[in-house]
Amino acid sequence: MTKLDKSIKFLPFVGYLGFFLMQVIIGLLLVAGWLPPNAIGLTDPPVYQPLTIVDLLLLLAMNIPTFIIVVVAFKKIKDKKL
Amino acid sequence: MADYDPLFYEKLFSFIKYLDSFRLGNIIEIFTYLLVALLIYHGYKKYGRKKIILFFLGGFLLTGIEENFMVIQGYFYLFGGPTYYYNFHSYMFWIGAIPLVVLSAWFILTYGSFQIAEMVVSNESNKALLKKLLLAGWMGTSIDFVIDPIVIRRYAWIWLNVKEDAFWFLQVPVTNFIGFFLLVVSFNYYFIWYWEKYAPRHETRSSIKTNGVYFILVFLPLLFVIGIIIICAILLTPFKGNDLSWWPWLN
Repeated sequence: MTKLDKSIKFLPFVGYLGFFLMQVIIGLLLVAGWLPPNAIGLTDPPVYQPLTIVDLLLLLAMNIPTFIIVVVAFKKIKDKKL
Repeated sequence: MADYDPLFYEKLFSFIKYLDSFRLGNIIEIFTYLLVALLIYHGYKKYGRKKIILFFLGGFLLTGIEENFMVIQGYFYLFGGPTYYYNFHSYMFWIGAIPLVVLSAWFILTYGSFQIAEMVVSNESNKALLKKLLLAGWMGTSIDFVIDPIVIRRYAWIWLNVKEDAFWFLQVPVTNFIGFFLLVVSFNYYFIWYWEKYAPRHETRSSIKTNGVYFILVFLPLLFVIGIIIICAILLTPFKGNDLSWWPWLN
């Protein structure tokens, strides 16, 4: 079994958490104001309250049950084959 | 009040909508495609080439039709008026009114969530499949709690319902989250049901016919989800105009 084959069982974590992490990074960049404004093409776009770090933390806190599931899954699969 | 892109209908069928959509920010899109490739490789090793391609394409078809239907019917005021649309300037490649990356993200969440749920729930446990499906549904939807409030501020997609027309959570219609949960649950169930129950009962069929029927029957979960969403929208009528979030509505 190659090293790649051994690590295949972790790919769902890479996919799921990788996607999650991308959203968090966008959120952090948005909070920091480092994202250039997006073109919209509308004269009257909807207006939202700016996202703050507290907002982002609250949104992440809603995912605590999901993190627990992921940790449990990781512990269970660590020594198993695909 | 926000409205559709001025060239919405003219550009509806273009694979590339605006050239200004090619930006450095599209790195996120490219990463998403890479994650899809990794998960397809995982599925190839676990289920074999045919099944993982059919999972991917089945989900592509299901979400592609469902989301295009939701956006386009809103544009033509078929069922009560505007719903939402994806910002034509925000994404590189498109299938109708839906960005390719959104369909890819849907695959990551549906497939990734279920694979993780499978690791948590033992096959010997009572109602194992139901538990796995519910866990996967929750995991898919909970990411949505983070995605939606962030990306609407980037105008990646724009909700067009007025506040009084929907029941909101984090400034996103609740039916969006319910639909997402149901899509993850029902499509994963459909995939398992088809390959573990339906296909073995029709073993004499040719491979082409088996695959063809798979793409036809994928409309069953779609109809199920649309039906439940309509029922939920009716049941949630008393709550219309309310938003369960801490943000004020600025317009």
